[in-house]
Amino acid sequence: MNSIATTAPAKMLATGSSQGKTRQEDLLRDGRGRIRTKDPSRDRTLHLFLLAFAILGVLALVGMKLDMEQLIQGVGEIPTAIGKLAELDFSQVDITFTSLLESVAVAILSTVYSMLGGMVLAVFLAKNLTPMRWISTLLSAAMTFLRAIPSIIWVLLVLVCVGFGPDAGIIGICIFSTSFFARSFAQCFEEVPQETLEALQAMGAGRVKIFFSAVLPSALTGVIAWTSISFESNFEASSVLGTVGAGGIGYVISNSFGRYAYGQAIVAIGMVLLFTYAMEMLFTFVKEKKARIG
Amino acid sequence: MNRHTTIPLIPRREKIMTLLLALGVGLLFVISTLSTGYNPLDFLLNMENFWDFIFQDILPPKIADWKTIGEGVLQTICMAVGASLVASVCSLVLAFLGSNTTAPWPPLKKIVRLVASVQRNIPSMIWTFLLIMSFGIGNLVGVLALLITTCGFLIRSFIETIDEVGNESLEAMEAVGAGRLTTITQVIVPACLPGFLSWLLYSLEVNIRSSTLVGAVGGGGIGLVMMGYIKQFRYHSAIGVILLIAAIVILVDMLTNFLRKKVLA
Repeated sequence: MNSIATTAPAKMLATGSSQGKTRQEDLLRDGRGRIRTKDPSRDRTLHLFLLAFAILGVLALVGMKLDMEQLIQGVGEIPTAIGKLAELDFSQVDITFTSLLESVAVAILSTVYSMLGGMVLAVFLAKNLTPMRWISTLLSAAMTFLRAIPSIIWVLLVLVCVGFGPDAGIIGICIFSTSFFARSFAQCFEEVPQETLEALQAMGAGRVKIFFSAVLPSALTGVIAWTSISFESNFEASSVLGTVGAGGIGYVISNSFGRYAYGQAIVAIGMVLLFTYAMEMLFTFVKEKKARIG
Repeated sequence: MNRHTTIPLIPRREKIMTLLLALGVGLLFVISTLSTGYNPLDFLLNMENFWDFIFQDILPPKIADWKTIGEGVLQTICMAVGASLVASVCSLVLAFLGSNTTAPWPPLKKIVRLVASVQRNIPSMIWTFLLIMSFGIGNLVGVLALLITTCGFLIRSFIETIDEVGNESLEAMEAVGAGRLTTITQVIVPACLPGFLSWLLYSLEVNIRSSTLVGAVGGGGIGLVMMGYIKQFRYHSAIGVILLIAAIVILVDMLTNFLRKKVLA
């Protein structure tokens, strides 16, 4: 990463060398004769972007007409809120735990189903594997659309036609997650070098054989990484889908808030936090171990 | 050809690891299926229900009230952009306090990382519930909830980016007698800026999505409008809003992709 500051002038030197010595000197030293450490043209776009972002952000904050009184009052209320939350109430802990398990199960099932579905779609989506180009283009557009709608909204829609229960959560999350997997797996598959595929084709291997013996093994690291990312986001979705009317731990949380049973809510939130934290630790551990082997 | 001369296509150890992983996932899958009683065929066999719902209740989409919806969209976008800006400034400062290379005081490093971890591991919709307790319903809660989760996410990403700066350049700066502040402004910031920006753009994308969700549980914006339609069973209007949300998300993704190519080239 540190190479950016040092290689940029070197790169400019290489391109500038054809234009004579004065240009070279120009790029090496700035107006005051000091040695340049930055590439001014690259910095200009960066700074322009940062400036534009800052202006837009400030405009957004001003344009929202945030209620400053509400903010100040709310900050004053924080200690009271923490006081209410601190009265931990473990009376419902068994129900909370069961619903946490339900949320985990929903996340696991939706991840597995969408991984399988995404894998199949990715074969047709990846430009180097697809049997026909137009299928890839068509699928790509469809996937972009499915991915643009957050999974909670999908759950809301499925909820209406399937009814309550874990099914709605699984199907809703699957719709989003499948398209996510399809896109990311396709990217992994496209990174497999064309030479490998051609070599196997020349040996007379069929499409299925090429996929299972060359494409899948070499894309495996990517597949595992994407699966872990997707599992985390699927659990997040399944833990909150209760707040919009489906089951799982989100229902316990929103229900406790509705009953002003803050002590029970914070116990449930603590469980979600512990679980996601444990997942993060586990995936970091696996990633580091993997990096050491590979 | 006997067994000893064949070179395995995949290293044995990796094969065993993968197999174990697959077994573990399979076991979890079976347990989850048993506990939730989910049968994928149920849905596939009852598809006519689903098609009925799509073609009678949902389609065609309808935009009922342009003024309310327009305001909602604007609010949502403002929430996302504003939260991203404040979060990026906060997390930039905190990341320097939390990184291995720049932390002025080691215990502070641990605290920053812990706080960031709590911030990002609680979903933004749950933060909304917590914040409603003291701030009441409104777009302020939405901004704060997004701010908290984005901060948690950006602190970790920024710390990782800072830690990737090579030790050589830091040693070089130390060798010429540069102080901590000079090192940060002259080496670390220029080297990390592209990485920071890439994460910033990503957080903007995520925020556009989650600002609609945060809105749905009381954070204001287009999410609240959509939730209202669904609760009133006005599905034609709801799907119109949802398609609008999809269009915005796609547009923002295209914009950030363009910026990534343009700015980080």
